[in-house]
Amino acid sequence: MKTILCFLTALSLASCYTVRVTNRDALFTQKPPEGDGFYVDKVVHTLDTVIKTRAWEEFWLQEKPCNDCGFYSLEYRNTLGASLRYALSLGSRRAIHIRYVCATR
Amino acid sequence: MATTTTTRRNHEYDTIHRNGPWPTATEFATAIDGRLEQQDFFACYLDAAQEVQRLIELARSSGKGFRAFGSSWSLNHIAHHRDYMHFNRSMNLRRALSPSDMHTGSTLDADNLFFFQCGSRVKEINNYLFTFGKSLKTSGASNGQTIAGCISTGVHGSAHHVGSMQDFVVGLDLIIGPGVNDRVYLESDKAPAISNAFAAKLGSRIIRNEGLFHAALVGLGSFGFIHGVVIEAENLFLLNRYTTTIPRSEAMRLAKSMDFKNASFRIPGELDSQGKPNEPHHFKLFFNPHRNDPDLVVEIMYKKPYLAGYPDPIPRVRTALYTELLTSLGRILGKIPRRIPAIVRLLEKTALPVEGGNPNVPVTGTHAQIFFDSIQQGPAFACEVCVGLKDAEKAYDIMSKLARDIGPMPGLFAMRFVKQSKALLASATYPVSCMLEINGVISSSGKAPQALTQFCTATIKTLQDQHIPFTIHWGKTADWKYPGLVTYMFGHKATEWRRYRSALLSKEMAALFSNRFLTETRLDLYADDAPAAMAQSLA
Repeated sequence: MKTILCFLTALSLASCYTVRVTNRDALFTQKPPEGDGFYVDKVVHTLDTVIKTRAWEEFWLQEKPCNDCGFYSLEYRNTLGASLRYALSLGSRRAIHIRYVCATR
Repeated sequence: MATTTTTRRNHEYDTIHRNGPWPTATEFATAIDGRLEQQDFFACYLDAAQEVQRLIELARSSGKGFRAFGSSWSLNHIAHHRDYMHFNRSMNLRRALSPSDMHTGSTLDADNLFFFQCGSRVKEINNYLFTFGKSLKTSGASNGQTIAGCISTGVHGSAHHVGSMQDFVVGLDLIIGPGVNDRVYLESDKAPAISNAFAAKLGSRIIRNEGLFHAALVGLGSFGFIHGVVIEAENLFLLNRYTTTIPRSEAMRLAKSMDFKNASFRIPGELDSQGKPNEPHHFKLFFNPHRNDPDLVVEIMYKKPYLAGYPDPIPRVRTALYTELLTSLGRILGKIPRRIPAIVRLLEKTALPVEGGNPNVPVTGTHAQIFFDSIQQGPAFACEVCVGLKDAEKAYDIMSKLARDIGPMPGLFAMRFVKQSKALLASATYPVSCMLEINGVISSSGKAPQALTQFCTATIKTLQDQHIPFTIHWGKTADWKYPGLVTYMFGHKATEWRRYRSALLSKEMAALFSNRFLTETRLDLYADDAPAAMAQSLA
């Protein structure tokens, strides 16, 4: 039991991570402050979906999400749930959780 | 056409540093017409002006107040209104002026003049000016505020030969009511910048009146809706930024005298032909009020001509811990007042600009790069008083003792130095003003909120008891309700400011553009006897 718990803890710690890339010279689309943290004054868009793993290498946002200005920031988050889904689907399904902020001129 | 959306109803407005919240009935946001902008700048600008006037009329006809706000960086309720609030961040037209836009008697160089709509952020102004090889003369320590917010509250840096941000503004385009005659362009009659034809293209009648212009510059959001500004930029320049430590006694001598020629410290490469220190562009001192350090951290910058090819300064400018972590720690440790000195030690590590390595090797960058994006996130307070140089040390002794005795306060002190502003109600009111500030994290636990309130009140009371003349930065945390505060700070200037405002605005519009902040500071009082001549053009 202890071993299983240790394994699950290690798995959850290893599988939960967030990577955020920010375009430092860009301006973000702004909203009045609400909430806390990095997104407090930013208009944030979220994309939650599950894709076939085979599609991962060719995954892109289907529509032009930020007009011509591109991204200000893009955040990819992996969670324990996403890792479990991947494991339980024997590697055929991957949950995608993306948050992005558009740049503005 | 410009479009306005009602973004929130019956919500609680807050600042970016969570100094509220305060209830607000309706929040609007206006966006300019992008297609129209491509076709005709002036038509797009006029269209936006008419949309704002429509909203003002909506407020007037329903007996409501109206207040514009931008990035919400002020650390108090100056931008708040309980009725209608207008988010103007998406109103960000900009344009370089040409010689044909200029007044024939102007001594200003058209190459340095730029027009910006109210919602333009400092960062986008920096980016835009860079494409012309130009730079802002000064700014605050970061770049997220809108231009209208900066000048309305008197945002400043620490350049003691340069003024505050409102001091590079040479013209203000205001909307003072819903009528066709309620769009006015203000500038000095002694230093006119734009032609009557240019003002007409903006759809405004021009008033050249230095007194009125200087009153409206730091207008606290209450001189009408600032729709656009004309600023004077300068050629792109570089700043060499050094951070080092110097003995406290020498730091205080410099704070009181600004006598850098006889400074005891030497930075190789920043000496004149006689081996004396060069005059710095920027000088800032840092203090931990919970420690009587024999040496103080100083940030000192020297201005240099722009030369491309220097190393990218941003990675070094941003060498700090992720401040969110610090804020969280602050909240937890804030429950235990005796741990506050520990929080302050953490603040030291993140807030102080220690570059690491050799302090004689500068970080070199443009003004925009050195004063880059803020890393401060989460609840924060900042109390800032402005005193004359002769009172700088005494004021620090008073405030640092209060910070230790009350709370104690989880914050670090800094001193910045700014040239006297031309604006009537600017906090930088002394020939060279010492801006003494404490910045820290807000904790909502235990007695911390009461401690901050007590500290703000005690600061005013003690400085007054010690007969130290002072002012307070309009965008910072303070006991703004303190009886007689504005009269003590500004004396007859406050009366003059109210008279100019009353001459420009009708009584109805003065009430519409007032808010609780103005009422608490008694600056909302309408001067019925203000002569109309105070708002007339003098040239």
